[in-house]
Amino acid sequence: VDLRLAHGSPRGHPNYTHADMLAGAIKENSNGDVNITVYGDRQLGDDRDMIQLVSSGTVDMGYASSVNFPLILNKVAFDALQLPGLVPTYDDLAKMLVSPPAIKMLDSLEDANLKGLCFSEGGQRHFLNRNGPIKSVEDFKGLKTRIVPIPLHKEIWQKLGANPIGVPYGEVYTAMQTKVIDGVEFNISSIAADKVYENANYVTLTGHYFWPGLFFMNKEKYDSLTPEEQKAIVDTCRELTPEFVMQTKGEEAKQIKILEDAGVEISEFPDRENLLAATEPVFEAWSAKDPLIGEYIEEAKKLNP
Amino acid sequence: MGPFLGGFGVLLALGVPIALALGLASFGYLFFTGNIGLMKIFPQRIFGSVDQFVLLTVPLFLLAGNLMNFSGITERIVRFANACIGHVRGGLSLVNVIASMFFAGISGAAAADTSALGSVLIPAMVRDGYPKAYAAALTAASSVMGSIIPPSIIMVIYGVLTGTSIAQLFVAGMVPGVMLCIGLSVYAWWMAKTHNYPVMERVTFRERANATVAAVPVLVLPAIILGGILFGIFTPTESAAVAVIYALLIGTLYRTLNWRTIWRPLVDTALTTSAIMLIVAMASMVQFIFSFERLPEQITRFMLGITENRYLLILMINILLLILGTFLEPIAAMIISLPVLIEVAKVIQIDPVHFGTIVVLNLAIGLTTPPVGICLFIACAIGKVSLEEISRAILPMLMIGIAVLMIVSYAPDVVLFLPSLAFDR
Amino acid sequence: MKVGSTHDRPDWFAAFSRAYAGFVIVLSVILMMLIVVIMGVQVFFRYVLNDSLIWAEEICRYLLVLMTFLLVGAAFERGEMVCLHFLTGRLSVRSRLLVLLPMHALMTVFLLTLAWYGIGFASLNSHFTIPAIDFIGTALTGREINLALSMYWMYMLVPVACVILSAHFIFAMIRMVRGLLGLADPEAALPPGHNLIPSDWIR
Ligand code: NA
Ligand code: NA
Repeated sequence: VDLRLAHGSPRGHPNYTHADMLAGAIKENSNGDVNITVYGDRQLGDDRDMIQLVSSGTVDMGYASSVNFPLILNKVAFDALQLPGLVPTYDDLAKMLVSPPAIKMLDSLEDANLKGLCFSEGGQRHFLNRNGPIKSVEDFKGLKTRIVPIPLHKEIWQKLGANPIGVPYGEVYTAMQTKVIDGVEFNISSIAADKVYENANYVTLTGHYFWPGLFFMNKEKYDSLTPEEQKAIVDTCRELTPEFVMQTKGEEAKQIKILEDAGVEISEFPDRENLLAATEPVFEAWSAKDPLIGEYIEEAKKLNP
Repeated sequence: MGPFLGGFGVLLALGVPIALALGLASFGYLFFTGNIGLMKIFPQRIFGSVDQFVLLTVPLFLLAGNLMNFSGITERIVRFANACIGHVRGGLSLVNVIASMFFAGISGAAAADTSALGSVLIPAMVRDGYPKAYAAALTAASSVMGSIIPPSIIMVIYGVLTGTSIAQLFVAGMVPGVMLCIGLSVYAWWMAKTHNYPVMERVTFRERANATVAAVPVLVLPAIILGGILFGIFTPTESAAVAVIYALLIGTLYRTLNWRTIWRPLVDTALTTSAIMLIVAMASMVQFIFSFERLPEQITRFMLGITENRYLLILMINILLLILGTFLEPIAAMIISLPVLIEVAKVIQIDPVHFGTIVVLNLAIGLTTPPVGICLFIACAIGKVSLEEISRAILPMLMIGIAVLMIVSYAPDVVLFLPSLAFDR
Repeated sequence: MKVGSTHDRPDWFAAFSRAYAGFVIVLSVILMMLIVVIMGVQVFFRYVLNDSLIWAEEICRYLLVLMTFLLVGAAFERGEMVCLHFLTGRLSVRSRLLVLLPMHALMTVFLLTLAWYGIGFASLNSHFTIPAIDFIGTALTGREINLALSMYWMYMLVPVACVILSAHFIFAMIRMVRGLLGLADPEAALPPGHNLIPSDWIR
């Protein structure tokens, strides 16, 4: 069977690689039976479009960041993936993204006509700013910070004392250059790829939250496949999740090197405890929104008892 | 793809509006290639392509231009230009060019310049004895500056589509804009000399002072827009809203705008916006079909197969864009072509700001190239001349535009030195 | 203001035309003003109050979408849609009508097909929600608002636009047929973008 997989990540972004990895692995595991053509780099639309394209069956499979799901499908549970500091390292994330609550999130997409296949990771978020390295939570105070305008992120950055601003993705470079924003919370590969560092020289490795996303498939298309094909797709995808996460981790290390060579000053964040303390209230507020969020938090706490 | 382009061409020639021709050709393509199921995607593409924050620059900059025109700003600019240069031979034609440059600093779209200045200057030039077609052609040709000198809707959209700094693009647009102004002025002056076009009376010092004072609030706006962006007070998209608010203030101050008259520029803007957006929406379907057929990769490979010489490739890109710009609205042309051109630009390692200037210049010139050009159409309608007449008159002026384009293409420092001064590049 | 053309039309049609023109004016004014005000307030909040409106961007996008889709018909009627004349312009008025009539029929077929797919798309994606409405509700009331309003009606704008525009095309075709049959001035029967006599509709 021939399938089309579309995503909005640009060439060089970890997710671009993951889509190709997935297509190759599924073909191999199905003995060449499931043949996937990948359309990346926003060729068929951006992240937000993917959900619609797949949901309506125009494209068979897609990838979109988890931030989109609370927003446009009202699946608040996905916010659990971005609670600050809950999952500290890539290695922990690799386990969490295949944990039972995570799989429950994937399954919760059925009523939107989507079959959630598996998670992947786009890159931990760090802090890029113009004025100097961030040494303590105090330093966030009043910084005009570009965020993706969703309630969870707005809440987190307000709790940290920053002044969060929703600048459209395409305007980040100009906004930083013209000082409309002082900083941006971003993943390392986007900082490198979009050359945002040209206008801001300090990266603080805050690692405040991850940026997971998921591969999903049109539900009817999925149901029309043979059990063998279904198994090849879902199992391959879920088995690859840890590899995706580790690939992103490796990519981040490489990109940090590139940024250093470009003269960007990169520093560790020494005040993690206060960051966690300041954002603690968010956990409680969000747990009330969906039982799955509480479940995910419990699961995460088992990691490092 | 041949049948697709052929079908599109036939539909255009038979008088189908550009927006619908794009849609119908896409529809026909899916129908005849047995992919009619893909029609399912059209509504999503149509909705998604309009549902873009950056496209708000279209109504906002159009409205700023319309309000400026409506509140008598145009007359003030013309009076100021007249005080500066009216006494030279062919004075009124030079006023036309110079006023266009000032107006360009306010409006974000060339078409706004054509209609605003055209309605004042074409009748005035005809009254003074200039040939109708020449007056209309000069108005159209000089209004191209409206899309090159900042602010510019085309530049904002280019910046967002490619992730290039809009502030740098704006600054980079200044030099080509001024070059075009100089080129057209020299041409107008030469035409006036050879055809003995009239001189106007030298204005008194007093009138010159008065005209300058009257123009100050107008000349302040470009400074607000550019300064506001450079100093981080607002983003380029927000600057469009600020321009509108400023125009509203000026209009109220001059008592030309009130609750009974304001509906008119608002309705004009909304309807023009709707028509442009429909083209954008339909162009996104063409772009979708191209991506689906993996055309960008094929064209890139094809172009690189012909030559890897960077200068020849730049020439090819220019020709492609001029043809595209001749038939399409600039935003639609970018939506369709940028996925390809960016690939080629990467291979020849051209600076993104420099490349942006080339793209914008091409598409802006395309607004005045026959047989399709919105500025041309507007100038024809105001001057009551036929497309044939204006096409003949505008040809030498197009050559000047293309000369500027060539300089910009092959001497990148001409456009890049200003942004390099203003920004840490 | 001169609104709606009334010559040789039955009363009900003239009344309808006036009402429609009024709708276009009111809608244009409201949408344009809202966009300007929201964007202005956004700059003020961000720059002066050091806060930002989380919903401003999204609401402005929807206003633009509303403007685009609800006004396409009016834009056509005003001759805002660019088309080429270099070939058809050489023909006699009668031949132009004979060429343009089937073209408009073709466009109408396309638009109605698109409308049909558009309705399908809207119902398939009715589970998508408009987040901005909830953000505004939360910002205004200070309490968590979770209406999760469906995007269905936003998506329905696409088929609505197709139907509005095809209605205009159908009326344009009726005018063309009347012109061909000699029941009306053929020159005036040309569709708006081709008609050198500018439309007197909302001027
Ligand atoms: Na301009
Ligand atoms: Na043109």
